[in-house]
Amino acid sequence: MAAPSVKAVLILDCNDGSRVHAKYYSKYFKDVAAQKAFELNLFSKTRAQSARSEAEIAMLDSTVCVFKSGIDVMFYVCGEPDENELILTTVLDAIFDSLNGILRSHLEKRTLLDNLDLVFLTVDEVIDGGLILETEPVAIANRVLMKGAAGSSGPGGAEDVPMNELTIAQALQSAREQLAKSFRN
Amino acid sequence: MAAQSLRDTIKEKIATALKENLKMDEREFTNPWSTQDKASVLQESRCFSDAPIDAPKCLNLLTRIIYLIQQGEKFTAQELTNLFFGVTKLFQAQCTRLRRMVYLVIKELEPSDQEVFICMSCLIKDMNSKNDCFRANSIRVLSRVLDPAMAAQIDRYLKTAIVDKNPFVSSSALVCGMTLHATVPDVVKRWVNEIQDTVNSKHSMVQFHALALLYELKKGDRLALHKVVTSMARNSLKSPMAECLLIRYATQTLMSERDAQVEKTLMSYLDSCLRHKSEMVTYEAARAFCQLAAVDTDGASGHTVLGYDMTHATTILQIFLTSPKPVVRFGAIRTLNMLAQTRPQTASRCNCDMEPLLSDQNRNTATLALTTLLKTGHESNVERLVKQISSFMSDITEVFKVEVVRAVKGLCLLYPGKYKVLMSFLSSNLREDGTAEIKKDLVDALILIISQVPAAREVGLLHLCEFIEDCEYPNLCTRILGFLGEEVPSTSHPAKYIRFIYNRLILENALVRAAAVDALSKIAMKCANLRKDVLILLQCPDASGRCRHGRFRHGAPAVRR
Repeated sequence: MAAPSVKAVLILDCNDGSRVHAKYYSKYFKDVAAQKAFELNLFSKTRAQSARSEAEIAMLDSTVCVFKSGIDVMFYVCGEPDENELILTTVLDAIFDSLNGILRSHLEKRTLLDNLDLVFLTVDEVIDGGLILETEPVAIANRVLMKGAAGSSGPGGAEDVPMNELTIAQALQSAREQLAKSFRN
Repeated sequence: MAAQSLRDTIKEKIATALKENLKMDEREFTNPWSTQDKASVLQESRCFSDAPIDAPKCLNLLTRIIYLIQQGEKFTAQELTNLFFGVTKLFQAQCTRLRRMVYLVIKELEPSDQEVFICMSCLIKDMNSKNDCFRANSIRVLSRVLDPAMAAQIDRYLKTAIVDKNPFVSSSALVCGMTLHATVPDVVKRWVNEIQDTVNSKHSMVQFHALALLYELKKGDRLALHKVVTSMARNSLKSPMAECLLIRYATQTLMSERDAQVEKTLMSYLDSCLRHKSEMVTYEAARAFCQLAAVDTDGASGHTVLGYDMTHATTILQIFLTSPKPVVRFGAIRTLNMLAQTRPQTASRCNCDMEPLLSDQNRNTATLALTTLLKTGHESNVERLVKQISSFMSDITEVFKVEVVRAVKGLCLLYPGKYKVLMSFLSSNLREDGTAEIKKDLVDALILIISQVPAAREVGLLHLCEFIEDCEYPNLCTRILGFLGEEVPSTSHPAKYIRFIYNRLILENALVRAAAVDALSKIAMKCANLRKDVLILLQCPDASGRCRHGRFRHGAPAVRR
């Protein structure tokens, strides 16, 4: 009986299923060509489902994938066929929510590419070699930004501003930016 | 007049302004990382050796390198080595963001044992740094690059890291232990006391990692493992992830042992997990009950698992079936589907909540609901089910189709009175496009039903006859003809079927024609009144020697009689 583990994390472009980021932890897909074929297949099967508010799920080959949509990208977390789907969803939410907190904006392709190093690091902080490392978005964000590593589950330093408060101030700013954008249009 | 021209000017001005704005949004977004190819990135990587190090430039370059690797760009071994050596120079920079990327890139580049010694001292220095993140990350990198000799040397640092106050450091050390256990298990064994202490940590993920590592250490020793699992089960302060893990270990222990004392402790633990406040844990526990039900053959006729009532577990799954979250509904129906294989009566308690899932947005969920209901269905809703299956069959994959067919076969045997609607379902699917495997399954199902359900015989045989008119698989055709030859003589009007068999005689290839001759001959032998007609049919000229031989074999004795 294996510990809960992840086979792959994928971020695909909503328009054509191309890779924004893809990290595989299993040798099941032998080479990049096989991986890309799997991604296109997965994308074509799931593009019709809108997974904005709640995560959705699909089974493909011998892989179970939970996924969520950003603005124009889709996030997938894939596991073994008999994996606990709720655990996979926890991992998906961890990646999604911590990226939201770190980038302080909606998750669209442009933002992710402009901050690609942070995307790489976030996924690396959630999963280590297939094993789940951390699931709490605040802790993950702190580790990515190399701040005190405790998050909310342990002793944090006095200099650590809780991510929630940061987010509110920045959320207001982001809202201002969005409003300005919509006036332009 | 003036007002009109003023209005027009304003309109024009607004139109131009809008056009300009739209143009701005129409500009193409170019991917900032696809602007440089591998060659230029390798060229630029010389900047790693600069003094002083340009942190933003290097950070950008490191991101490009990982991007290229991710996109499948191939690097030669020499290129990777050169890059690796360059990256190790970046340890001299103090910028934390850059250092974090250096850790990541080293992991991506996967340096060999011979190469990695260069940065070993830097990593070990970082392992003792005041900065928690440096400590944790360097341990994570070390777990990927340590060779056995080195591991033995630094093992005391890792041991201390396990019991570090900082949960990031502690988790990293434990995860490192899991990786190292594959190559240097003896080193990791020495940490058992520290790991045991950490299992009781108040940090949720640290508990999880400690338990996983402890399991790795003890899994070879059955008794020790049981001790760990049972003592953990009695301990009540566990994070949801750690609980899920322990549930799995408990289930595995129960499946491999039939010790009464162990069973008592672990089953009562699993039962208590059904009341946990985290959905993830109650789901894992319900799943465990269903897995155990599959192996507990003693309780197979009832609703218990190893003496414990399953009702609570199925109630949880039933509630999950109505969850607003698609993933939860999927998980619940998948588990019930598994349960229905061995305990359909228990799973059938959830029937009323499974039926609405037939029209679930998620087609995977709907299909699972269908195959489950086919196993747990009652006689009263068979027709309704079959109607809904038919709309499904075109959407679903081959694997699912085979399952549906098997389930329909089972239903027919369970409720023989419903043979008409079930057989017409099987028959109409035979007429659709399909692979040889699915058609064989369908034919098998029809044949089985015909032989087990007397009332279904005539209808079934006619279905098979209709199928062979159009069958593209000669082996299947031959098989059916053989079956017809056996069954037709004892029907009420054998003559009905002869036309179908005869058509095969003139239209098909040699293999099928031979089978058709065989079938007709068998009928002729057993049905005296049809003998003359069959003989006339068999005497028609044909080109196959084999058929002629067959004809003489059966035909001659009949004529003499």
